[in-house]
Amino acid sequence: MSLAQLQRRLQAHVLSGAPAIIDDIARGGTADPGRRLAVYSHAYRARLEDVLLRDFPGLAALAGDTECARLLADYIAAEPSTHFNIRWCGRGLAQFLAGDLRWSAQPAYAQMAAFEWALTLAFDAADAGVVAAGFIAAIAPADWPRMQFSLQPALQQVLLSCNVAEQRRALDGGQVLPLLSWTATPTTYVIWRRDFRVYHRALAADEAQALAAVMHGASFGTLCAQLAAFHAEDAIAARAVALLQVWLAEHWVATVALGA
Amino acid sequence: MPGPARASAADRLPAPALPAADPRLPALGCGLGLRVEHYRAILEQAPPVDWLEILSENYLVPGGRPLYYLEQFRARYPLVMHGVSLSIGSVEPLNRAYLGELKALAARIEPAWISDHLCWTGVDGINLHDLLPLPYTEEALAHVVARVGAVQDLLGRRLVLENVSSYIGYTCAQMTEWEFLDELARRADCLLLLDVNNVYVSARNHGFDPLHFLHGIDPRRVQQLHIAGHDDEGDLVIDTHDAAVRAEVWDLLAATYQRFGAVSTLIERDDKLPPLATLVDELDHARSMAARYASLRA
Repeated sequence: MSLAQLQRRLQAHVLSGAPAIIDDIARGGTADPGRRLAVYSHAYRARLEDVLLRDFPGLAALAGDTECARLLADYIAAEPSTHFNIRWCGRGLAQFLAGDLRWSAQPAYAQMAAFEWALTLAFDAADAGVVAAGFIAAIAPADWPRMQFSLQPALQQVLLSCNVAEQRRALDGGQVLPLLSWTATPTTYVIWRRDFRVYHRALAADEAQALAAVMHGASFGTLCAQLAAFHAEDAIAARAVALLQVWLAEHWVATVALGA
Repeated sequence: MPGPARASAADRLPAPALPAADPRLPALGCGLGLRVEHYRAILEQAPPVDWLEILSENYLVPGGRPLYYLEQFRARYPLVMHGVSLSIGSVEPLNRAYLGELKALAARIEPAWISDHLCWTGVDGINLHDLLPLPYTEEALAHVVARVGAVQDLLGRRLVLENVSSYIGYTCAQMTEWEFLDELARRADCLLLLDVNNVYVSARNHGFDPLHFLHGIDPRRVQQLHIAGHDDEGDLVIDTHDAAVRAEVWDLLAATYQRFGAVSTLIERDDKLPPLATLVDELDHARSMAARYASLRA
């Protein structure tokens, strides 16, 4: 048998218990081939589950130990890891939970998974510089509409219809999880990293839209135009400046440049 | 593991010339595997640890806390990169993206050497995240020799490969694990990380004499040693890295030093991590043992 055949047989056994490899395992000693192979089959699932539980503690708390074990087992069976680094094995969990026939009946699970994955991404996202809050004052007011921003790579937005962010915050603080509750309108949460700590908070609708526009390269002038949907014309400039000051204070802004 | 002993690999394979000089890099002494739980203690206490071994994959990330701390340790200790994702024995093509990231990390922290395992981790795009044993066959040997050469060309340095703990052997084996390792090191001109605990674990699981393993390896190829704890389940011994080094592994370490001299030695602990001082005490024990054999290192 070739090396390739042997590797495919062992992998099929670890993934799904395919028996073809058993006759290729040397016999003898104190354990039979089935017992020996079980070490690898068990280790595969245990290792992935260990990483997933570390990355999704809120999901585990929300679902409970038994249900969480079931959903992780389903995920591991449905979507074998493909990245060389086990750190990425949870990247498809939220999508799996949202699309799976069984688990989509518990939509909060997918939302918690999406939120917690964003926290994980923020933890080791690329570093970037920080624009000091006073820097903007050096730019002439006539040039402000041309200001364009790049934001911290760790910064992300997640849209949530239930209070999984508050549940995760409670978990992190060692408190009892609040009961699951749903909102009539989804809320955008922003997730970011500052001084190696990951933070999150809910955004007002106007801030969510303005931030999304800036994340897609909008200028300050375009940002103001976005705010016209939320504010009277004479209040737009003040709101835009206030938002920018908050973003600068939170170290979200990595660079400022003047566009055309 | 291999079946009954047959003609040795050296009898059947071409014999490329050994490098004239000892290929090993300078020894570093006794080190610890760097784990997040000990970051603060190491930085605050500056324990008597000669060097640190990092898990390469933990730092193949864009930024944030892992790379910040890595720079702190790099400023204080010699570092060695130890990976688990090379999959040098897989029939899958080498993962160039992984190797590129590995090379970039090496350029950043300038490790004393880079190690991984003699194993495979998956095929057909799937990663089982385990160190799966190879069949010790001529085909596998030729396959791994070629791939080690490609990796060494890419990294611009000799690779250091570790023997894994194993729970299965294959009926198609044509040589022993140590024959395979020794021949691999010679033909690929790479170095070896001899995991003494893994030798013990595999010896128990497959019923061979661990001293035969040690005496089958060319001392000039052994760059580093690992020691760790394991779980004895009776019918099988499981490599767990979650307990103190056991007496039988200390005994085998003494035999290892006797044959190979005071090779750079590292304690691996991944789970149920004790306070740093406990590991430093274990390391002191290894250091005192190594000191008795220091003169044997070329």
